Amino acid sequence: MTDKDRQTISPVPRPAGEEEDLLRIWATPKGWRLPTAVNNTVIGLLYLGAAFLFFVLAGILALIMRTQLAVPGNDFVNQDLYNQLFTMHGTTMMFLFAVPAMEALGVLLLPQMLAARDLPFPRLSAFAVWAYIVGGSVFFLTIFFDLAPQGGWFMYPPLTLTEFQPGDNADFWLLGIGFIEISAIAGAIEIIVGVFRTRPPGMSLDKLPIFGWAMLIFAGMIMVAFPAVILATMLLEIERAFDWPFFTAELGGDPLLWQHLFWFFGHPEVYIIFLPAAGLVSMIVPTIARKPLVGYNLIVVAIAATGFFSFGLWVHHMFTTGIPALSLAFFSAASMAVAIPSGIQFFSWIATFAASNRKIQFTTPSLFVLGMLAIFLIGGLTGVMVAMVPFNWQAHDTYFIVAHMHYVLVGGMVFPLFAGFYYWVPILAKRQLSERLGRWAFWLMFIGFNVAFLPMHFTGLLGMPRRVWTYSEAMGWGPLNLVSTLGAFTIAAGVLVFIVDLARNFRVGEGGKDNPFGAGTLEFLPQDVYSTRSIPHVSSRYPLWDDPDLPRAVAAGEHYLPNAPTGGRETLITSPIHARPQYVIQMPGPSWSHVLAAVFTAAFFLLLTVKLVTPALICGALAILSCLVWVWGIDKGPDKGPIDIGGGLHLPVYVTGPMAHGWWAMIVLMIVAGSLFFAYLFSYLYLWTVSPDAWHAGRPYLPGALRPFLSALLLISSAGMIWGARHRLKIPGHRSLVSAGFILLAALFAGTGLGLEFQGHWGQGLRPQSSSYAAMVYLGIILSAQIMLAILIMCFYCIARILAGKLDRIRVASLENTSLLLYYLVGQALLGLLLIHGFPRIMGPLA
Amino acid sequence: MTPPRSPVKFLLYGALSLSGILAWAGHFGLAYGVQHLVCQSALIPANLWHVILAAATGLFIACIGLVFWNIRSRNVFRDPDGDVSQFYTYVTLTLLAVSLFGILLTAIAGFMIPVCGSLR
Repeated sequence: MTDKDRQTISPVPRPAGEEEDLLRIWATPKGWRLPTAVNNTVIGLLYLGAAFLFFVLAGILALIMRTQLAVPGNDFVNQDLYNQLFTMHGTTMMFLFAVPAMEALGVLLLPQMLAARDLPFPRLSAFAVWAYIVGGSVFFLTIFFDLAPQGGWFMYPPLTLTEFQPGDNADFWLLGIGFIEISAIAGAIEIIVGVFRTRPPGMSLDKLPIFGWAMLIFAGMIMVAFPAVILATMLLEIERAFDWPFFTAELGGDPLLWQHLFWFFGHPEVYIIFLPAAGLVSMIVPTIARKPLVGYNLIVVAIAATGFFSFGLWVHHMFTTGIPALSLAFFSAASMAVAIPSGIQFFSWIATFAASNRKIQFTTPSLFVLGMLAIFLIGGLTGVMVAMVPFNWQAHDTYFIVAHMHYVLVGGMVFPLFAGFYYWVPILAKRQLSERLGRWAFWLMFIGFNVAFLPMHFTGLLGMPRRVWTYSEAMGWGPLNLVSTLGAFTIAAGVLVFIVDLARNFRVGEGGKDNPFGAGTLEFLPQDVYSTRSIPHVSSRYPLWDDPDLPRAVAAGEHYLPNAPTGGRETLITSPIHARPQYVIQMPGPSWSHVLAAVFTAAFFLLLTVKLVTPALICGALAILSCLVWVWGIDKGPDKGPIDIGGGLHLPVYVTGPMAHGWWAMIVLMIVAGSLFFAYLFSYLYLWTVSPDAWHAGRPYLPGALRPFLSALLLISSAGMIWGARHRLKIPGHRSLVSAGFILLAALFAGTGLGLEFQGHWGQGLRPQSSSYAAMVYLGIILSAQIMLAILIMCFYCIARILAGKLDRIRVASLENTSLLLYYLVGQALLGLLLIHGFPRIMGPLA
Repeated sequence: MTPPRSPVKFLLYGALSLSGILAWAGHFGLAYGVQHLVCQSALIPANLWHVILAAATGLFIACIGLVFWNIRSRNVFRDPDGDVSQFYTYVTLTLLAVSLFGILLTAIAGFMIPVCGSLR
């Protein structure tokens, strides 16, 4: 920092009582009100704790499986239970542990790394956590009632169609996973807007901590990848419940569509898990090595490239299904190419170690990082092997793949997570965890892991298939399996030591020593419940190394926003590229509304699973009501004038339009909806390529051109109406009934437009059960109709706000977001009309 | 205080930074889609497949070249903060280079495999 920069941003000494105000405002609710807490440290810890619990539970399932496989011909568990065990193990590890654990770290660490008081939507984070905990727990409990799914964590049809899996087991997976995906998307929105908009002044994107970049790409990948599996689960559930033939070959469907959609999610999922973990490593390595990370820019490129590459790899899970050669060539090349960006990160870490001149600190986090390097390297190399089509054909569905996948996921995610936990505990707890127990935990896990999984490469090459319940002694796999089982129990011993360490030493509360490892990033500033006392001005990637006086100055309140000028929870919103202060966001505090919304959302899905439709609908309505109560008080408008944040800056507390964080969140949500629709377009075109006959057979059922034209006209008119409503709003203090009328008409026009489209096909006699073409036509309408339902609720909400005098020309955020969603719907529905009515007409006769 | 500005610069920076890999994805999508149209409908004659692939590849490479040239010679990422400008230029150019290889790989595969036999 220059001398000029060192000038105090906020004058000191600070007035008495400021810090007490901050402590009071940001205090965590106690006792029975604890669930209402929204502070990121509380929510993040809850999130992480729940994820760790699921990790342990899924690990126990793995131990049961390993016990079953320890010797040939074993009958420790029966085959039916074994099927449930491996399905629940995979599903729990992927959906209930890995992704939530990474989101938990984002919620927990990002505000600290950005020195923000909290992420911009604290109740959304809390909602995501509670939906996940309630739903995840119920889902996991199915294993105790013989209700757990049995189709593997990827649930391939036709095995999972009603014909082969009657009962509710598969439905628990489909609907249970559905709302866990909603929880993940809610978290992703929070992370994206948080990274772009709540950075401290001066932290331009080129100074963003690598973990921030990793979380940004992670959340971006969730936005694109998760909608594919949401659509897949919708299709399978609809087929199971209503016989729409998406996956039934006799009626033009194709089971491979499921595989495409699932792996379009499933492969990026691996990187969704790996990238944040790699981000953790990129944060820890410089501290261990006492040197800035070598190749920051290249690592950012590598993270972005990995994110994109990962969407070009999904087909390598399907090399044995007989897909087109062009796909084989492309996806094989891409699968090998993804090793390049991963390698860049790897070499960057090694180079940083090398730059340290042998001054590496061999603490527990260092050991876990080094262990990760070794394990992930082997997983990466076997990944290149299975990227080659001929080898893939040989190794497919054998224990070689099980070994590869665990080397990638445990090396790429579990070890960094443990490293991260040991590394960041000081910002959460009163004292550090035990070094001695930490080393024990590491060595047990490291040795145990290699003993368990290295032999699986050989059992796989000897031909042992995955997911077999037992095997004959004559196959010769017994000794290797016994070794694997011993290794698995050794890993469990390591995890047990970690749990003992937690029980003995982990005490949540104020941080002990602020920066025990001598890190250079902001999360090691002095913290309290309000995060940092003041928000620092940042001018380098390692501000604590470059300005050793920064912790004192921040704690003394010498930087931005050292107080609570609005009298409530607030943080700075800065510009997305340069992090220039733009406005102060007033954030909501503890509440029951988002907790109830989460519980009712979970209940809605779970009740639907067991076909209790009426109670499910009641819970759905209550969930919506809770959401409305939750948001009613958030849009406070410009109730306070520009406030002084220090450094001569006076910022507004309310903005709308492209600058507002709410606008950003809505754009992100629209991208998610767009991804869902894109997955639909892919599915439509894919099924056409598989069975063009169904499309030709469906052409006579198309309504005349006038009907889609009328639908389009109504949809465009609805966009015009909502635009008019915005421009007819009155100044504060005046209610605009004309605007309310326009909003109502907008909803009416859009709904009628969609209704007309539905009626057109129905009136022509097209029934969704008749063919994959018909099912796809109606699915397109459903995708638009569900957004229409949300818009309808939002329109009535806006009208209520107008009548209550809470929506006017200035305080317009609610209507702005409603308009954005309606514009999106109109765009999507018009594209849908073009596809449904245009595509079958322009396609010539079969080639 | 400076009045609020729209995120145009952010969108420009974002779109340009990702232009390379978007072009790569677009090229593969186009190649894959056209191959299916050629082989499964009478919309496009099969003998045009290689011509279209060559033209698309040339077009996408030209687009990448254009963005590359613009960034190198015209300093698209003009920014008062030199670090930001340098960072974006580096990220964009590297991703463009990676994408060029991706496009070439897809094109080579398209020329090497049988046109419709590979779909069956």
